[in-house]
Amino acid sequence: MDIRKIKKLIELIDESGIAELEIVEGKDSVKISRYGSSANTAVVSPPIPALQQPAPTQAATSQTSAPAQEHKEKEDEITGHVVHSPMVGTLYLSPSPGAPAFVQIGHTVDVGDTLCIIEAMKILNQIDAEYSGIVTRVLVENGQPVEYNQPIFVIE
Amino acid sequence: MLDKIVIANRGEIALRILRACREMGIRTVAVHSEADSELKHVLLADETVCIGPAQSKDSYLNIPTIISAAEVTDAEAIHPGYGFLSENADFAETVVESGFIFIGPKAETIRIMGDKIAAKEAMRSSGIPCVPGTGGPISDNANENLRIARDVGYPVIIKASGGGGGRGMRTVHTEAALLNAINLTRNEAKAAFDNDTLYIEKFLQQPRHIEFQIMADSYGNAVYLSERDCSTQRRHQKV
Repeated sequence: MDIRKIKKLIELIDESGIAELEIVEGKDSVKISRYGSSANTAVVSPPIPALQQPAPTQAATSQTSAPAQEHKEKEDEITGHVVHSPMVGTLYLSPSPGAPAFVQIGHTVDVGDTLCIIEAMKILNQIDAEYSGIVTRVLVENGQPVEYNQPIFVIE
Repeated sequence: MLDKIVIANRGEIALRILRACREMGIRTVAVHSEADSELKHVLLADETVCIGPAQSKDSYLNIPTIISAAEVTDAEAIHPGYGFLSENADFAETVVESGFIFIGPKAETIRIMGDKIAAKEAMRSSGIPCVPGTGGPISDNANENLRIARDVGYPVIIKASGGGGGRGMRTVHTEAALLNAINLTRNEAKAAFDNDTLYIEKFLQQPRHIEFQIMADSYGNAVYLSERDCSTQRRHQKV
């Protein structure tokens, strides 16, 4: 893929309203993203060798870290204790499908009350509250995969 | 061809694995500790999962958390890289039992080759000559050990069967030093590898130590990837 082609692609993006463009030609691929009003970045990825410029990390899709970033922003606004996931697994808000959730927003919990279940390697682990208070935020959905230290609840 | 794998390592090897996956069209899941969330291979992977705090024992050496990460991302296989859990037979076994492919040798093979006495035995039964020494482990019997060393012929080397990385080895040049050396090595082995099984072999003083790197696939194809001269060593490790 030569530089003139890439230049043309950048001009194309500039003129249009496209936010991100990825083209794959055989083993070559180009991804160009626009962030902000005028900043354009081009990422060229030939198979060998990888002459990649340090690319903006948003270009690579990251399923589990994206929610974590979102939650970090929310964390700045909240007061109270953030409950973090102590392990990797699938989080369930109720003891079994169809049953009512362990806790909901507004629910009062004591230290030791079960907040949720995280399933890993076929074992259901009960996650208990380390603080007492009122649940003000539920940051995850039922059945969502969680990673270590991911914020899952807020208790005030 | 595999669709998605977990890269259970970090640093340059994780990056190399990621690059190979890119070339082969395999999607990548980078598992990482909290401290490593900005590593290059993590930023470039298709998916990432934070598996634990900075300490290796709670993250990169934590078998359940790595398997869980493979579960939640629906990966098919786990690539252990080198170091960490790559030569851990229990890990290889758990990966397979949990329904994933372990990109590496079978657990049984890791076990045989990881235990030096078992490895020598496997070589001997395949008709491959080995350095002369005791066939199996030595006992605590002082007289017996003195006799064994005399038969092998000084200088001898005492080696921990579960050892690695050049550790758990001690050379003995004279009979007077033998029993003390055995004690010391046993204690070291117990502390470092939680396994105080020892054996004795002849110590070769000016050998050429050449290694051949062999790779085989599960279809019976094998190649050798040239030889490596490991004669120059520091602390019993190739330089």
